[in-house]
Amino acid sequence: MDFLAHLQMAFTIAFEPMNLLMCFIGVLCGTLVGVLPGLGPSTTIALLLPVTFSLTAVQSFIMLAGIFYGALYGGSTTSILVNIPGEASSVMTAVDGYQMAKKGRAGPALGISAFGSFIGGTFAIILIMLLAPPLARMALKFAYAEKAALIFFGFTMVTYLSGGSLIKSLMMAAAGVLLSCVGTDLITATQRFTFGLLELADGIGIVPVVMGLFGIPEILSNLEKPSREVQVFETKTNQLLPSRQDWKESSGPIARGSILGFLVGLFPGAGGVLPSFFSYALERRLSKHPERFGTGEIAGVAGPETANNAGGQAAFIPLLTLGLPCTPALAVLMGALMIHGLTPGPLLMRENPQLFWGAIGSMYVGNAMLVLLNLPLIGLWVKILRIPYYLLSPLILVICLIGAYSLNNSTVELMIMVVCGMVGYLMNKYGYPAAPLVLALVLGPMFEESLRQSLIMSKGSLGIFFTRPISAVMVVISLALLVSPIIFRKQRRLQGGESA
Amino acid sequence: MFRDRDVSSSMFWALVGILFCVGGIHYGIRRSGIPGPGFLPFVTGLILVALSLILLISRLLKKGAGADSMGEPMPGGAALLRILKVLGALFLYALMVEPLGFLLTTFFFMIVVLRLEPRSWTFIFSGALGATLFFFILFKVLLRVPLPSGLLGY
Repeated sequence: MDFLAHLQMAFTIAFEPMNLLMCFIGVLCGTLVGVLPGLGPSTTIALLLPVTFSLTAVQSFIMLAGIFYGALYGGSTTSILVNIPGEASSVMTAVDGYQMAKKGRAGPALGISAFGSFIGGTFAIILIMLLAPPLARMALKFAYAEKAALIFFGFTMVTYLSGGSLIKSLMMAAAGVLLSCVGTDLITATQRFTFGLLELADGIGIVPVVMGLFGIPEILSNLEKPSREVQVFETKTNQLLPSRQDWKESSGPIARGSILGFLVGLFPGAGGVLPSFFSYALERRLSKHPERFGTGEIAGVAGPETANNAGGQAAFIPLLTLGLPCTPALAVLMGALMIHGLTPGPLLMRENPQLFWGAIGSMYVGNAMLVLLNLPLIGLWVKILRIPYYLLSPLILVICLIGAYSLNNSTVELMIMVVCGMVGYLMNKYGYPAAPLVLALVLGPMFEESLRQSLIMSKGSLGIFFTRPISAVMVVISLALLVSPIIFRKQRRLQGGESA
Repeated sequence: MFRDRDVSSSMFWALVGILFCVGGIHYGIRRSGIPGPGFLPFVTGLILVALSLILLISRLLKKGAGADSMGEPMPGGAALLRILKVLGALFLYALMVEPLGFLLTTFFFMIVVLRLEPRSWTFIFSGALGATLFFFILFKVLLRVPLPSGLLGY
């Protein structure tokens, strides 16, 4: 009964004209940035943040969430048509999708990724509806020790999953925690590392850091090459609907991709990227013709595209029930909610059911819009890709500058963004991942508060994290994750030594 | 030795860690038996120093085993100059936007960024003017985002 009442509420809110419009704008912008390489959902959400100041909280959440999952859709279009993944989550789609397009089967590839995305996304939303309320109730029982352990677990997952060197990821997580210490101490109200700047008393804002670390480096590295033309070969995209045979080959991957994507997406740091990689690997292993992967196999498009949408939607669960953003884009989204005076977490559902259920309803609607929107607009997206970069990059830079300034009307934020842009560019060059830093910066204040409150309760003893079962499990798993690469490497070395 | 990117970057991060450690000590690691405001910066700073040292030592031990594998190559020559120009323009924008105002600063910024590649002045001027007015109308007039007006009042 409860469930149906909530469902009705979700759709009533989602179908309010203004909310429908916001959802439409969100998914449209999302698809656009998904198509454009270099402008990711996190930067876009940050850029459109000032626009949402004049909206209600529900409207802004609906729009910004639309950008997030819309980008997961848009990335597939360019992967398939021009072999340029607009987003990291579509990298695997390019492998077989582009080959399909070369064989003149761009239509079925685009069609199946749109339908797969819709099915995966919708599946994940249904699970969010079913799982989020009990999870939030469970989260209410979390005390400081559990919260600190959970965030610690989140840090380890992000560093573990972000790829590249584990040490460098850990260093970036540490750097993020350090940056989060800047500002007023929550417990003693001491001003830390503010150098007398009033603007830093509230801490370093997440939005200028995200734009600096993700947006500007992307533009700078594109400027390294002289302006290039994207080669688009002319494909016939008249026939968009996959044939019956295509459906037969894709139904398994779509079903598995939905479940796998959802489960993987729940982990902090996974987002839409890892599910698509996992799904591709899984489909290849299960396939009767693994050798056909990479030559235009439709299962290699259907699986990953479904999984990245299911995973992307699943990432809303930790955000809405625990207040834990799992990807940088969701971190900015959380910042947007906070600007509107809302704190994502277990109480959100009870105190702001309008927002929670409205957002869920809008996700159903948004997913349906994306399917209807994407198929006719494919031609337009390909044209947009032909806008030369020397025109696009100055415009993106100015939007970043306006966005950073208008947060607090201060040039301190501008400076933070520019410095982060420089540091972020160097971090790319030196192989340091930015995602752990951003997440640690967001979660840092929460982590510090729960860590110190726990230690105050235990009179300074770390034992509190091991005597409480939930926190003990999470700390042990995190430590195991951190130690495992060292053990594996030793083992490999030993094995290598024996065989040599 | 300093040309090795892992060596130089690990030293940089170790220095950052040390600075936060010192700050942590200054703000007080412990206050009457419980962690004080300097606790987290101190501990995390220490962790950052330790991780940087691990990276540095493992890099030095592997010396000669080939160039560092992570990251992309640094650009040189013209490409580096373009990037420095953009970064410089961004810094100047942040410094000048309040005294000069949005319109003038954005106009000059656009000129610098559009001139990165050789193009006609007509193209650059019209592009910069058009983009500046477009943003002004979109953000200031339509969306009412408060942009800095500067001394001249616009």
